[in-house]
Amino acid sequence: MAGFELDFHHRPQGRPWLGWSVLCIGLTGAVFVAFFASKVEQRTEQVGALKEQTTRSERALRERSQVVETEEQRAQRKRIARWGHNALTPLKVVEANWSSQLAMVQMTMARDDSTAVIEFEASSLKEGMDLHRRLLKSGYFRQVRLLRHAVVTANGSSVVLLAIELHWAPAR
Amino acid sequence: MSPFWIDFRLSLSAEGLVFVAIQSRLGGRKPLHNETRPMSTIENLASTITEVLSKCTLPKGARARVKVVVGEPYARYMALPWQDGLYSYDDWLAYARHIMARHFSDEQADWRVSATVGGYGDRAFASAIDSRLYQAIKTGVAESSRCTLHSVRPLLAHAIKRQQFSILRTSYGLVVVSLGAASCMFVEDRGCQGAVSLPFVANTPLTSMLIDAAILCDVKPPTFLYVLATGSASFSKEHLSPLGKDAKWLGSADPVLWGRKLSQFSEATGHGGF
Repeated sequence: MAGFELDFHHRPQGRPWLGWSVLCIGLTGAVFVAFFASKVEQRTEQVGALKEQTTRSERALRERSQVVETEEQRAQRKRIARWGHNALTPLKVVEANWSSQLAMVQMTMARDDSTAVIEFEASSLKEGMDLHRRLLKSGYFRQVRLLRHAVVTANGSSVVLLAIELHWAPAR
Repeated sequence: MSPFWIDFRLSLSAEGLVFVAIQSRLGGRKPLHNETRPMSTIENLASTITEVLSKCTLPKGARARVKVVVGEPYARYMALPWQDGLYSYDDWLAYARHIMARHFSDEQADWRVSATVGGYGDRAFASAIDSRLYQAIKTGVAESSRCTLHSVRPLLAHAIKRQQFSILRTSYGLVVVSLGAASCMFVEDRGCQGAVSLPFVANTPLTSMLIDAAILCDVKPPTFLYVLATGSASFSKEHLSPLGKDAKWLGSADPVLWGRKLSQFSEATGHGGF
């Protein structure tokens, strides 16, 4: 039962409500600040975890794509190592030495362009052997082999069927 | 500032000058000094207080706060009737001083007055001690080294303050039994209706004294009673048994001064009461 407080030394003093309220507001504010600070910390942790996860998945993706690239790149690299960047390929050499009296039937090339087999029809044997000579003289091929030739007669006119194997010479 | 609170309690009453020094800390209270000596004359009181306070050697750097409880023959109590037109605390003190001087038929005496003003229309609970006594306490404490006067309270208000959480009723009578006298206070709806001190001996029935007090204060005898006692009153719970459930024993008026169980004090100091 308060209210009967007597003191001869001090006067009764009112309760410092202003101070109390400031203290209470301050405490509440501190609690809020602590709460939000912890919230921010939590969010930061989450962001960090997400970043880490993203980094990991990105790396995995890059590794996987690199595996795909390397096969193509390897062929490219070999080709570049062999011919240089602007080097001719057997196909281009054949195209450059082609003549209008010839008709391509089939062309088979090795993956690394080292060997190619062309089958073609020529109007005469001389035309076919001319191509053989031209390719041999072009100097790009180590070996130009005539595999076979046959003469096919159809509708009263004869067509010569030839097959040539080309072995590409190493880069000069 | 010391890491601990050093409390000096000083009780001035008929039983003498009781001085207790305690150190309060987290573990509890540690008594440092306990002394009872007969009350000196008011002229020598200041030097006596200085002498008593210097008995307890304080730890290095510590300061003590002195709480003084003024007991029975020195403190007077009164319930002042409501007076319109008193707006400040000083007005009330002047009014109390005037009324008390007239009531105690001692116009010449200079009273140190303290009062609590209740709600509008309620009576004010007031207490007075001799101004010279207060000055003696003040100078006595001021002259002793590293002591600060914290409060000077009358015993009744001190006991109520200490027991404020045990006193749950709104209408009650409260009796503080001390050596040779009892202070009574009558409370109705949390407002003080009357307060008076009467001579009282522990072995005589409490009820007759209470009826006298009620008549003096012009109030109805209370239906419920809280009873406290000081150390040398040799009053205990057994004295309340005739009252049965209408009285509650609250124990020591100040456990620091007189111990939680009052018998401890009597044994320690050799006070046997009457």
